[in-house]
Amino acid sequence: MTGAAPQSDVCLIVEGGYPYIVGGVASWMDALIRASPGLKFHIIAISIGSQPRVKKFVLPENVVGLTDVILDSCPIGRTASARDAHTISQAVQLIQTVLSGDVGTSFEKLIDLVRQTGFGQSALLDSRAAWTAMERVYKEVLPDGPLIDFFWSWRFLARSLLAIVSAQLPDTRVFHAVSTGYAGLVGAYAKHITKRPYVVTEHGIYTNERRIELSVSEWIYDAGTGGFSIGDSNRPARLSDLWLAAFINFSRVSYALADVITTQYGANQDYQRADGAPEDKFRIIPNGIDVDLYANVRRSTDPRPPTVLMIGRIVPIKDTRTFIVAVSLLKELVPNVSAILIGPEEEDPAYAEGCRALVAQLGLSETVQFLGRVPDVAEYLGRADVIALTSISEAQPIALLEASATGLPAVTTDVGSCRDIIEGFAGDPVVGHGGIVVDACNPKTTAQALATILLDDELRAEMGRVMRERVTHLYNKERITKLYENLYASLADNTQTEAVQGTYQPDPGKTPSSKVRGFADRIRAGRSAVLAPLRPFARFRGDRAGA
Amino acid sequence: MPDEIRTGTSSAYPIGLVLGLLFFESVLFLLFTTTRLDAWLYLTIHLSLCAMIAGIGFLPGRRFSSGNLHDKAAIGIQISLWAVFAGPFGAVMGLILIWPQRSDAAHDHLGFKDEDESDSDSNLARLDNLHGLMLDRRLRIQNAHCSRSLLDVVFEGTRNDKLEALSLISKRFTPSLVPALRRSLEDRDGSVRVLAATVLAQQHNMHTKRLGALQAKANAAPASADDWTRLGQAHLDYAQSGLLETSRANVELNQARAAFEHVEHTADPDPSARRPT
Repeated sequence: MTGAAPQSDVCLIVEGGYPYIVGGVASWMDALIRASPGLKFHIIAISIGSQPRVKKFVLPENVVGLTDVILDSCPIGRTASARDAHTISQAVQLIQTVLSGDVGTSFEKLIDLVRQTGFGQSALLDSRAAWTAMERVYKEVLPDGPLIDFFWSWRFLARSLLAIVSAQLPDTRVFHAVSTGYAGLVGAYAKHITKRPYVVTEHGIYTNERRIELSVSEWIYDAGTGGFSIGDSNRPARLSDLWLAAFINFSRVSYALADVITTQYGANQDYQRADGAPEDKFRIIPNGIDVDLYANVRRSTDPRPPTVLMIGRIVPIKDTRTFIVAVSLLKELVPNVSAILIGPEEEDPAYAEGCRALVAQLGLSETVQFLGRVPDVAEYLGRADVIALTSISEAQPIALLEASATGLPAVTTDVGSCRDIIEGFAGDPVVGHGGIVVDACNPKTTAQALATILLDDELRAEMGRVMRERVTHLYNKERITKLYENLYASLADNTQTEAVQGTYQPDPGKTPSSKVRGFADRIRAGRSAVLAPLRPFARFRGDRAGA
Repeated sequence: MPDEIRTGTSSAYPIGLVLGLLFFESVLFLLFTTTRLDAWLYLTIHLSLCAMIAGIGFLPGRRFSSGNLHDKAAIGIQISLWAVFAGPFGAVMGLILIWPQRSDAAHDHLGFKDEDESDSDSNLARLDNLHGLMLDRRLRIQNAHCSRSLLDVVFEGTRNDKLEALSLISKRFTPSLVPALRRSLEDRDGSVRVLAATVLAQQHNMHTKRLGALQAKANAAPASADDWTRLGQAHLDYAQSGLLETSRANVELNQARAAFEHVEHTADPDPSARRPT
């Protein structure tokens, strides 16, 4: 862990992203920080030791500190003696509960126990007592599985928990985790230690994403001991069950200790609810873009072929392959079509190479252009007729919002909130469709949808108008920035929140939830009441909670 | 003991014994009818001979039997009854009847069973036989009615069932699973659709990456029939994967054909490379 930070207003907690990895959530964080220059931000970046920590973003001036939490590196702690065997067994039991069935209390007990005993890797992972306790867990959790696989999985998961519950926390007014999982756990840990407000925001649902990863992963060995029966609660446990249970429980702990749970669109809340998130903590705050900037993009009137634009990294999750095959089918319907791909290729060079080979194989070398990163995307938005998005998974894609603000109609897969953006939703003040939603992995329907828009000038213009209006109304950065600033303020200083539950419409008159009111009341009751739990921690002496 | 030697002994031994006994019993009977042998002595020699032959048959039978008490008793009773009713010839008869069982037991005992089972033809025949029995409803699998096809699961299962089914499809993909995968792409639940799309894209990527690597290898060595054959086979596999639309599958088939034609025209044919049929 690095960096002793000065006091900040918001501590953003991110796992495997900003400022080291470029991606949707990282860009969102960067935009959030830059949109609120009056707030001071601290970043906690969670990663693993082998991940290169080279900043891919220039940190804005209002970022006052950066703390790294390395999951596979925890403090060694004090050496265990023979008298510690029972305590170690208790700690291992708590770790097991946090990994398999916790609602927050075991995690808090684990934090307290580790802080009281000074235990770390030496006592809880490397000692004889820890091994004995781990064997007991193995017999309970994976009795038919290979011990060696269980051992390494257990070691990583337990060590990551220890890394989190011994992480250095900055002095900040509000903790804001941008996902559940490990980021959410750090937020929960911060909440327990500092008693400061804690917000968790989910763009994509963490447990869904991890489940998908586990389902298709090759790194997790499965000996087939679980058999092949589906929906059989009596089947033997698999190693992947251990990981999935851990990720689900990380989310449960995050939800349990959070004061507010935000997401960009309503469909996500169904999954959050299913994972145990309390309804009264829910808020919806969509993504925001600089509408004025993109609305002023001048549409090119130069003669040019019908142009389809796709913006995104050239990686499997964006399913660039489907886009290329769709263009080959589209060429039969719109022979002079041109397709432009904008996005970096270095994340998965083999996949990008495969996409280029596919273009050559399909005879599209004259039709499809790979531009890589470009300095100004707006320039290309002004020269395109439709934007395509063939992603397998998305939350609320910024690229789609930006293209929409310029008046481009869209063809997207039915992922994340794309359908809401294109077709609207119940209560949407803007009526009409701004494009066409298609099934994922379906080049044929994608090509047909693109052709429908490209071949009908009136339809294209009307869809462009709907998209521009919808984005201007609902996804305006100024409005979204206010929602977040008000949320932070309401949590820290009893300012009313503007975040609205269940609808995108702002409602200034809405009162904060009972949880928020409770927090505000504590602040009103006096600074000493808020600070009381913090006294043992000298580094919080500059607290501003009651300011 | 080698199988053929033991089998040879098993067929030669009873014939010699029968001929020997026939000769001995004929002489004994001749001596008795010519009053050169008393009746009690004739009966004693005759019964002793029966007991001896029964013993010869029973002792090795015990050694080669499965160790089951019922087996041993059955061998004993069988030889004794044959000896009582038909004299020494009966004992030999009983011996011949149990001999094949002893041979099988010895065969297993000496470890020849594994070699037989490793014979794939024999296994196929047994599987075929089992399949036939199942079709004839003479063989039933316990709780078979509880099994659901993957397609049923993706149609009717819970969200967790569907995700688990897709995980299985991902890890043990075969072209026959494509309908279940495609059905999942239209599921009401977004997470199921996302996982189905991920699995589908994963399979596509596996093929395209393999094709890319093989194409690069083949381009680097235009005269290597082996590399071009592998490339052709990879195109063929992709075409037959069930993942592609008809037009795309046809493109892959044409690419496979082109690669195989290259093999036929290559200047340095690799004798190990053969165009798949």
